[in-house]
Amino acid sequence: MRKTPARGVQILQLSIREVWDSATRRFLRWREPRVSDRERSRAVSRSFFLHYHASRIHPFSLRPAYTLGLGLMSFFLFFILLVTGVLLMFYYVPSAERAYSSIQDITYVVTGGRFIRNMHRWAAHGMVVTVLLHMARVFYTGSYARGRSLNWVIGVSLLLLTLLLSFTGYLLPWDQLAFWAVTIGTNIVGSVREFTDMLGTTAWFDPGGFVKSFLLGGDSVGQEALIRFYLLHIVLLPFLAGVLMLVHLWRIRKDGGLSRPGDADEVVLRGRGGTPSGSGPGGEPSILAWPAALWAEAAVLMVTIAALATASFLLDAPLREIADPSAPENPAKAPWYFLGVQELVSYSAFAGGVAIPLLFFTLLLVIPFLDREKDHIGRWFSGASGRQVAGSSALFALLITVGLVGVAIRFGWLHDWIPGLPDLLNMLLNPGSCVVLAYLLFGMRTLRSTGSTRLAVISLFTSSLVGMLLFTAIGFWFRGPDWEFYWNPAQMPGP
Amino acid sequence: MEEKLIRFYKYLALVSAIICIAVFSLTAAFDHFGRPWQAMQREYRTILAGRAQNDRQRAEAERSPIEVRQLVLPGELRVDRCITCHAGIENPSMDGIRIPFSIHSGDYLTTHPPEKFGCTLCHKGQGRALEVQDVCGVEGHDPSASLQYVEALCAQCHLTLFVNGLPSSGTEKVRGGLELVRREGCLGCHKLRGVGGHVGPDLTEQGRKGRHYYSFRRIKGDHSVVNWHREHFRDPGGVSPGSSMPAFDLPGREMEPLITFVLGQFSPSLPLDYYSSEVLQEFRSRQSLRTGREAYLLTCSACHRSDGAGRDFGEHPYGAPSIGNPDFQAVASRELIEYAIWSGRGTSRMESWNPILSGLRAEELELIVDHVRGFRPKGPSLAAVKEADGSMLLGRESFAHNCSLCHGEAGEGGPGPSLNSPDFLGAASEEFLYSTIVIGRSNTAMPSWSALPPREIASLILLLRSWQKESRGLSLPRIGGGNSRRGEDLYASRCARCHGRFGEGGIGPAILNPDFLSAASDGYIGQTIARGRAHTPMFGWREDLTRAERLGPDDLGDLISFMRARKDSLLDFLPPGASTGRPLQGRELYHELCSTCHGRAGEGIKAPALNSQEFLSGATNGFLLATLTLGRRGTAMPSWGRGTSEYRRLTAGERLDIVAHLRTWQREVLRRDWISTPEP
Repeated sequence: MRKTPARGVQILQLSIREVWDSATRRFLRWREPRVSDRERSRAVSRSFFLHYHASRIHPFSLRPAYTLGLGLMSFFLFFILLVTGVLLMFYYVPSAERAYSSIQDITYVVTGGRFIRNMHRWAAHGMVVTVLLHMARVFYTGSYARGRSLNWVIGVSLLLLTLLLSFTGYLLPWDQLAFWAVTIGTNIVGSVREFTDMLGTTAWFDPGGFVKSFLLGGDSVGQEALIRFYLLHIVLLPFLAGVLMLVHLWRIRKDGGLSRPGDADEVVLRGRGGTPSGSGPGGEPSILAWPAALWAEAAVLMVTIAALATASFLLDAPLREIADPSAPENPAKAPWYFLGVQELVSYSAFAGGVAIPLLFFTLLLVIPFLDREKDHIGRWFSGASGRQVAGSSALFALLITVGLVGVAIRFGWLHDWIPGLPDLLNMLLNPGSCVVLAYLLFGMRTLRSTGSTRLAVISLFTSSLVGMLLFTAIGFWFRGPDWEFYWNPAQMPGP
Repeated sequence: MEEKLIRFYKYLALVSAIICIAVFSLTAAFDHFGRPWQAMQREYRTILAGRAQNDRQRAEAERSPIEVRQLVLPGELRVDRCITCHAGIENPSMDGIRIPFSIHSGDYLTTHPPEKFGCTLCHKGQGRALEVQDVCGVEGHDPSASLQYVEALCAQCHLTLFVNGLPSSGTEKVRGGLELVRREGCLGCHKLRGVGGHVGPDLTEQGRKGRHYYSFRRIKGDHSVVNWHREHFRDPGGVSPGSSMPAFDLPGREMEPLITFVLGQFSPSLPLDYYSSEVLQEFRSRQSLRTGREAYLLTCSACHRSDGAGRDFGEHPYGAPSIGNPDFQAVASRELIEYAIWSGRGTSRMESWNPILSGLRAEELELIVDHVRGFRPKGPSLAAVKEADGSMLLGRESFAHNCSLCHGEAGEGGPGPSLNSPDFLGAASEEFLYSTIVIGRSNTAMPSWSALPPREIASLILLLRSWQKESRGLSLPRIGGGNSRRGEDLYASRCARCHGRFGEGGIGPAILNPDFLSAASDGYIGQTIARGRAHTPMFGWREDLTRAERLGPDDLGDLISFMRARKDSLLDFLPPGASTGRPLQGRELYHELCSTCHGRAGEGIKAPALNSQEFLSGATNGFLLATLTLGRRGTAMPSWGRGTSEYRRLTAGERLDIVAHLRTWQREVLRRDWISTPEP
């Protein structure tokens, strides 16, 4: 009778030991004495979460100064936004009467609520910034060439989705800031109607009105708009963005890993001191993804979270008074990433709100097809001439933008000098489109003088970027009540 | 190379991870243990235990949980978490402890139980917040939430404007504000609860308007709603350019209650059981004001001042006539006042106070008219005049100064009837003369001389009697009741050509004037008609005509009964009355003498506008003539009949010419519509 309890205990002991061994040896790989390259390779390719990586990568891809980890940062910020967003969904109520109170409860009462909300807010802003910087990085290293054009297009679409995600989320707190910013934004979208009015086609073709009422579910921002924005923000747009991100990452593998210059192999070999420590199928240097790539990613992840957490600890996300449809903010400003557009809209609603942004996005999308050269990939600015062109385009954009806008503010523009000018000309020749025209002409001049499409495209991109930054800065700091320009922001009249 | 990179990444990850852990731990610690409200509750617990009277209480106090406490108002109206820190507001043993632990002051919580009222309904702020900086105003501290202005929120449920519904204690400030509004006449330009004018914005919901409704561009002090009102009251045109609001430079002890009052204007938006029944009744259908003085002060005194002194047209953009001026009151009829109030002056300054527009009721408007009429001095009684010792010297002086301007230097007449006719004096009794002088003839040029002392009136009567010579006696048979319809025909065929179709006067005096008919006896009328007035166009209808045209005693009776029946005028407009002036000459005179102040087209520059149809419909030619003749003492309007050092004297003919010119501006006759105006 002593055997049966002992046998049971034995089985129990064996089972525990098996579970323990399985967990520590196989899953955590804790107590494995030595791990071979083959083990490492298998770890990556057999794991669901890790198999996105190729099991071997080119050492050039690890260089921090090349990518700056911006793409990873964007992805991790997206992930953090998903997590914090889901946590916020536990308490947020998408009803015009209760949304504001639910945010108040999250901020003031829920343990960690203020922190989570701050993280969500700053991650959102951060993601817009990193996505833009990532796009700039990809562009300036020419990483859209050589068959990566599809990935570039997916990337631009992701930029658009990021902006839309940020915009739809902006409305949800339902405070004065949110309400009026979204009113401005949807009015900008609806400004297509100005163009169709001019053509006289609004009666039967009104895309502006259509998109605006699709977004708002009505004529003005209200409960219907809140539900639609909420739906877009938590389901449709994250889903689309997530799917596109997965395709974006998969394309990296299919395009042969992260871009690198033609002489990447030599650079790596020089760095190693001439001795190869691993080689891939074609003889080029390669190392295992585990642990190198994973440590790189871990570092980017940790830096992102650390920066975000510190910012969320120190700075609170804004919450103004509850939205009051009868008390407009003056000035009512769109979210900062749309302020440049709002500034352009102040010159001409259609040209600034629709035509120029459309032009900008179209040009972005077709950059890989405008640039016919293939050899400049993998180098920042593609060399000294690229740096020069970028510098001169930036300077040109600065001067021409500040100059034309300054003239418009100080002396007025065509519609002041020639009162009888027809509306169409006023719209086409407003300060914003003149500036854009200047960029285009400068780009074409670069093409003609250098003969290089790459340099022309660098010129266009740089001047547009600088121009957008300038317009955003003007809208952010120098525009006060009634969208009046104040040379000295300190003199802006009080709230 | 890769090893260096990997090491770099490892270190970067480690350092960042440590920072993350640190930040997350700090956040968790603060959020869980370090919240200010938790410290508050612990302190409260200690105090409670310290004040416990026995062991059981002490144990209970020490065991009380540290948790968020909140009041959820019925219907989830609001959620107030103030009691998380202010835990002792209902605990009597917390008397005398410092804020935030002390018991709530006064007995407000017995009448306003926290479960129903919460905290923020009276104290404003974000009830859902748990820390001070989040509670008090969303963007910075809002002074209107401080205790200094808390009565504004009492007003939300308790304030009635038209009855005295405020509780007796704890509402001194808002009551003071209400008194100021009643005194300063704010409703002359602003509407409150449906009553008032349209010049300024409707203030019924002013308490609900946050900072977004105000422009702080021209505010010098701090940018709070309270300070906005303070600066705006002191200098409305400076804060809101283009405003026509007069400045109210009140001392602090009046300014603060007024600001409290303005901040306390709300219309009901909470469930109705929060409001006092008087407030609900007032919003449904308010009580009427009971005295003309109340109504006048509430709506008129901002521009016309409480004593009717008015505001100087020359100085202020919102000049208002001085309706209490004795000269105005002497010549203005009740109809003129009624027209002015009911039709306004067609300007934004003096709007129509018709009930549909103003929210005042017809009976309240009548009270205001009575009150304005009350600015006229009563005048001495007949007995006082009879007793007074008149002197011829005084009589001659007074006649020359006052009466000769219209009645001629020797009483021979001018625009006014001749007074030295023996026929007149023979028929006129003491009572008739007294009534005529003291009451005047409303809507004609004969003012009411009620401001004169009894001695002067007696002297005038003495003077008039001195002109009375022997008069021919006339014995009239008794004039009994007559047929007023026949009298009407007689009047139309015989009298109207001189006395006016409506008896408003023409070549002859206004004999259907109610004041005349009250003063004149049947005998006086009968004698005058029968005998006539020698040396005037009035011939004796019994004596001086051929038998065929003569009026017999029956005719006289019919006429008199017709005249008596016409005492209450049935007209719905005011006939302008006699006008014998020449408009073109009047125009020359007007341009020379009047246009500097009244404007070339009568639009009014430094003086009231004269060309409005509302004014001309209510002002008869007699009123215009009397105003010209006598002027308005104490204002810039001189007496053109007497002349001043600056302005020459105008003859009666010149004055009549100017009146005729003014009358040419009238394009339409506004009708008295207030007889049938429906109640709002």
